[in-house]
Amino acid sequence: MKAVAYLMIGLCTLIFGCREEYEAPVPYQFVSPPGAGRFTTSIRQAMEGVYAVTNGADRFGSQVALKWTYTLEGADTTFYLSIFAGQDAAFFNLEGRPDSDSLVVAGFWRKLVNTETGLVRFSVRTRRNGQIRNFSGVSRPGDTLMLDGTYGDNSVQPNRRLTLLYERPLNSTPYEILAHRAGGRTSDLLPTSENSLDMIKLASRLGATGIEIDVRYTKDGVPILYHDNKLNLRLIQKNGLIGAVEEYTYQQLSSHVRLINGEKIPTLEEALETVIANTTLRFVWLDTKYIGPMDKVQAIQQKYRQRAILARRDLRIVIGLPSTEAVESYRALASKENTPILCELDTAVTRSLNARIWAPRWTLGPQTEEVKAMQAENRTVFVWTLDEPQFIQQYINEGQFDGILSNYSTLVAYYHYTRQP
Amino acid sequence: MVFTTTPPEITEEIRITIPAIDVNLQRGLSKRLYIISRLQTQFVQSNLTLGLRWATPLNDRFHLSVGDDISGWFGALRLKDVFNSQAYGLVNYPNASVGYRLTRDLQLAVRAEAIIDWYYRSQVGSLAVEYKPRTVNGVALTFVLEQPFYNRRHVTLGLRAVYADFNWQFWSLYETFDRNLFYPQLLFGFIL
Repeated sequence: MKAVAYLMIGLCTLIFGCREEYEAPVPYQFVSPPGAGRFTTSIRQAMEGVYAVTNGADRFGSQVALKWTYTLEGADTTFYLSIFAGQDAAFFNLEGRPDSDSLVVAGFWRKLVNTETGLVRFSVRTRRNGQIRNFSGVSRPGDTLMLDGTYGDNSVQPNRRLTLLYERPLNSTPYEILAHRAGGRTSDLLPTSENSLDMIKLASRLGATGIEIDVRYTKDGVPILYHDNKLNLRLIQKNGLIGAVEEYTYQQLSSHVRLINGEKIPTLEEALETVIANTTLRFVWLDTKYIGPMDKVQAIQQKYRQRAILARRDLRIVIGLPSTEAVESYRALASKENTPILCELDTAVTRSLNARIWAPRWTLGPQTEEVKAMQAENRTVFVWTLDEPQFIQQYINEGQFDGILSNYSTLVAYYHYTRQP
Repeated sequence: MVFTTTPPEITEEIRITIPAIDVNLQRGLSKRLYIISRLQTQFVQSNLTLGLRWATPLNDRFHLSVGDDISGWFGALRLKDVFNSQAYGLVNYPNASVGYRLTRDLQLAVRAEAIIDWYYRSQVGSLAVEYKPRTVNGVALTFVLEQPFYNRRHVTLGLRAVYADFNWQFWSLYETFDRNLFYPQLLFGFIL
């Protein structure tokens, strides 16, 4: 029987010890020079659009969408080029290279449904009657803009051909592309942690026009961003602290806890300050993860709403009501003036609260009649949290929603921008 | 009964073990060829398996069997404000087992399976998606101990380690990341 025991222990060790660790480190170091460099406004505008993939379609699909975004740091503006592909939720993040005497962008690509990543580099060129030349910024009739480049896997220098040929402008129909947990889940192996300030800054480069963030209170009543009920190694680095974030003061969390990629747990105020000061995001969904009074979150919402107005920013900050407890907290507020809300419960509750936004779960289906009825009452309707690629395509092409909340904002961006009205 | 523990990669901080009723039937077609059927159900989702198995003794202690099972699963969830979804699929499990008599009353069976997805369809409201992957979705390794229990009946206790990209019991979580996750399963049964 001893042999049986040893055998079983050995087998269990074999079974439980074989769990694979998944990683997708970003292989490119961004220089992030402030300003646009050679990529003037007119060049950036000319480059945005839907492109056919003529080399590399087997890896990234037959078409992609190119869009420039920028982040702000004080008086400095830094521009990034994002490319959204339909295959495997692939995307590219690129920057203009100041070390080249022509229009060159370089960066990395990643597939969000797996760990595939690599380096990429493009030259911006034009093609006319079969002749290819560097793009100078001025298009002549008959010119077709092309991005001619190479890509590689992981840190290997790019050596495989990737060519994009301009086809048409991006779909300009208004649509909100909302990134879950400020940009994506930590489990999606992005370079920054979910619900962090760095993730908020990254969100537009992932295609987002808005973000959803999770709000909880610390023991001393500071609203912070954190998703889970408890401190755990899924979200934070090992530090010996256990239990709910509500059991610790903000000072304790700030001193001892780091998110999985090394960032501090941000306060709600820091997060909204980052949205206004550093990004062009136009929508923030404050998901109510706490149970209890809502007045502190309301005060912060109103403070940053005013800041956005003063900064002439088109920014909506709304409080999400995902449960009857959250609805009760909202109803208990002394004043509901200037407090935009989003209701995740049914249409009757949404109407009774006079919420301007209704947000049902995507697993309820397209609910076309209900969506149209709510929109006819001048309400906005979003659906959450939709990640399944084929359903994203169907919800955009056949659904009536005004936006989608997703962990794959890159894929929502791809299907939205490439959609032909 | 089968108890499956949720993988943290998709259920995050929530770790639960989900029980399923598991009924197995086996009938000999000849001395060495058997037809097997299996029903697993959690009421809102179920799985029916049919398969063939060829088994032979190697010596006094060892037995060997090879087989192929085809499994159809179906799930439907309708919950106010949460689900109006259903899904079904077909999975193929080619398998091989080795049985070893440890003592006069105690037997150990080790079974290896490949998990090959043949078909998947999911519907939410009026929208549906369909995949016909025909690819190896993962593997499973099962260890089962069997011993006499009472009145010529036997009791079995086993552990099944599933490494798979998709597990039918978790279809409603719509996991999208392409990776093999670990689904530990505890098996407990009576052979009647």
